[in-house]
Amino acid sequence: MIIEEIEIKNYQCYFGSKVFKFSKGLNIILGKNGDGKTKFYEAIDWLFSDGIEDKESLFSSKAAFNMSNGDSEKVMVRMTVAQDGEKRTIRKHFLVTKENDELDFGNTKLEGIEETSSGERSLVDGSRLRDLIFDSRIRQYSMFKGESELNVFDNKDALNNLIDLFSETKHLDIYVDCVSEMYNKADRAVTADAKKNKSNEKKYSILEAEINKLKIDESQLKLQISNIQKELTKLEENIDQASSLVDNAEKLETYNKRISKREDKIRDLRARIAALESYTTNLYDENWFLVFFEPIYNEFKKKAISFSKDRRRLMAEYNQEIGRKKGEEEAKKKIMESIPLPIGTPSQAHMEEMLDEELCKVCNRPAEKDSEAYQYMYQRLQEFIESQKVTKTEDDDDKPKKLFQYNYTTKLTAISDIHEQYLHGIRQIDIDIKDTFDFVENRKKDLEEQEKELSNEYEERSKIVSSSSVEASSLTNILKNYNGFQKNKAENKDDLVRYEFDLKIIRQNLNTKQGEKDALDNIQVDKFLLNTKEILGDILKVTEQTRSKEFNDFIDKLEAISNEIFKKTNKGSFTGLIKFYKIPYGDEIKLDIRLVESSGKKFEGNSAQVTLLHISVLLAISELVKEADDQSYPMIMDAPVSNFDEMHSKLFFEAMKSSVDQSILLLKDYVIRNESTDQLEIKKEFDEIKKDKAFWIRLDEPYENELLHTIDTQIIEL
Amino acid sequence: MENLFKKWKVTIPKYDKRFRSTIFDVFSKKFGGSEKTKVSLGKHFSNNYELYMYAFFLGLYNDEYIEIPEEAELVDFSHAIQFWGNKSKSERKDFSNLQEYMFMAVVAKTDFDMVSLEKGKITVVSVVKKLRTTMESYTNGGLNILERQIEENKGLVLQPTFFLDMILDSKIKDLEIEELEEEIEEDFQEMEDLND
Repeated sequence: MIIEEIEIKNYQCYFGSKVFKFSKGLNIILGKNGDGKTKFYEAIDWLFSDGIEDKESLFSSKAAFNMSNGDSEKVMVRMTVAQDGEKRTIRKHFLVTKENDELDFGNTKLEGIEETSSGERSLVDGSRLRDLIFDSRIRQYSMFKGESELNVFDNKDALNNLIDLFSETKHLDIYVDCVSEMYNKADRAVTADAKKNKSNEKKYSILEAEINKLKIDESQLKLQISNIQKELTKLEENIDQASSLVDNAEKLETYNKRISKREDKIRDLRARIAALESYTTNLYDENWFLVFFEPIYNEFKKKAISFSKDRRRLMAEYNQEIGRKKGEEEAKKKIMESIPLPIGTPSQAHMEEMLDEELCKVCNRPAEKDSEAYQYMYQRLQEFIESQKVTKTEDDDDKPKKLFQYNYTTKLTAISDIHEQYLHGIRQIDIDIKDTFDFVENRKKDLEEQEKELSNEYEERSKIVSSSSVEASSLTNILKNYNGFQKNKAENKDDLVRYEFDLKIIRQNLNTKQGEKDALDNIQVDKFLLNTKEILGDILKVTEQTRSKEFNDFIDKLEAISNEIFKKTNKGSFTGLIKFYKIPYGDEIKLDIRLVESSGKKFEGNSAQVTLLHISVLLAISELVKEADDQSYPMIMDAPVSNFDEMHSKLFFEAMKSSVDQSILLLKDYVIRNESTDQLEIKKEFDEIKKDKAFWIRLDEPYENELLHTIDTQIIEL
Repeated sequence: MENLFKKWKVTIPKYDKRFRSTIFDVFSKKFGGSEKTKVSLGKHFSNNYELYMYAFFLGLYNDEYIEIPEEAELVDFSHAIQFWGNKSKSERKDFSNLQEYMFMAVVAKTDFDMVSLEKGKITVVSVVKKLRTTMESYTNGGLNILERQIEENKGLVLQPTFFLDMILDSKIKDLEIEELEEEIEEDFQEMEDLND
């Protein structure tokens, strides 16, 4: 898009119709302060805005002064551009009529006119055409009133707009949302299926409740963190603003840095003390509970020993008893063995035969019944039969019955033995507790000292702020606010550190619980559902990673182009590099653009370097726009080079010329008053600037400084 | 070789329900949150079993053995002793070793017939039940102390030393000193005897 003409009619200092005919490339409008540069810029701004307006103040005072009753005048700003092979015009205007010495202001109208290459003209909707010509989001990177506005990323939405306009990221957002929804559905299906299984129902519902609770905690914390980050950004802006009113800015900065360092140190110390003071936790983690355990242990040990003794005593007694019984049996056996039957002893059958026949066939003598010989034989037979019986029962009961069915004692004595060696550590706990207390006491003393130093530094800082030459009434406010902002900032930072830590822990817990739930799912959920969930999870991860990569690539690209331009505009002097820092801002990312040395160390450039940095970023954006939209948009800047030296200005103009298809710069620098003739003239150096078109706007002379109706800006094409 | 510790640690000890709202819900933080913020919220204990252990040691060291009244409603927190202090995935240290110390204490303080147990004349279940009663009774004693102390020192509860101090001020400390004094006295006596 190329701006061909801008007509300004009866708008503030532009009396009657004034037309700027611009060309492609670099257009420069010169004019000293008060001659209408800013009004030119504001006229374009008015054309593109829809806000409430004070029509009387917009109307040229000179035109108003010249009007008689019954006259009418039009206030108008018109822009004609060449775009997409067409000529497009938008104009915004209202009518002013004078009746009974009163001015009456008509409604403001916005009109659009499209003219094809064949010359066919048609009226179209003004606001639609206006957006088509110069989208407000693009204007954000194209129109600037002064250096202070150049850092577009001060505006939190600037990055989002940029991403929306040019990065592929926005397309991926849709996919991420879609896959995320599918994954949630799969997850719900898995949960529903898992719930069908009654065996782990209780465990599952507890887990589910815990996970839900953790998720709620997580989102609440995220919200809190986001709010704090936003609050911090706001506070930093406020602090910057208040600082700019302070005279000794450099000294203030030094103090701010020192204070910030000390605040960090104090924060650290407090955290360390808090960690050390987790005495209740130490009862567990450091086993401080055991500080008085020794007598209890001794009691246990005594009991274990007594169990063991009892057991051994009973065992010994039992063994003795067994031994005694065994001995008796053995003795019996021995008795039996001591009167063995001689070899050739008659068998049981023979004995019975002999008893039956009442005849001892061993010695061949009669043994009548009831005789001594008969009795002897009978007894021996009985003993033999009995001995056979005894032998049989002895075989059955070979192993004696166990006294103890179980052995619990051995483990108890083992525990007692193991813990004997830990007693030394238990005796040490008392000393540990005392040492910890002493250590904490010392850290608290350190903290006290640091806090004292900090309070001195606060005081010093207040002095610097209060010694500024700002008028006294607003000074109290500034001072109060300044200190308040700083205090809030420190508190917010404390909170931020704590919340971020909490968030980390919650996420860990969430992972653990999720893992437990997944394990349960694995056992009881249909494999098809599980696989679906897993695949969708993977797709979600990949899509999110791709989006994040696209985003990073975009930022990297912007950074690379910015650096190229920055180097060109800064030739011959120390430049450093432009670095884009991604600062989390709630759920979003904010860009902080800084100058860094090649080592990566940040440094504050001088004002010219900072202006060039911002302009380089803007030109880089402009290049991206050109690439994405296949067209370039003009860059309109008011007084961007007031802090440049001659060489930087030259390089800057060159960069403008080569990077954008059209630029309109409003400059005050080249208009001087010739002291000998008392006439305004253009400096010779201006001739050396390679420009495509130049204008000089100046107030039509003579005019009265105090009389607005004498003011009329004239355009002189140079 | 049988292991009484193993049988004991799978149990879930109970407590009197009346302490749930007055102590457990007040001082223990069941879900989420960091270790660092818990004290500022008055949540000195990361979970219920930590508080239970605390009450147990407090009761033990003060020899406050109070059986839970029969009519009391019993509650637990579905977490067997064997899991107490397992901290593999946390910023906290593992303190599962304290399980064994608690076991030693309950064994030391429980009257049971080991001979009959080992002879199989009584069941291990009955012994474990006795051990559990000991644990529950000391804990109940500890909870009673805790309740009293909190009532008397409301303003001090947020102090980081509040709970440690109560342990350090346990009666057992005086006993220790008395024993020590007795020992010194005995040594002194012995020395005097030797001199004589």
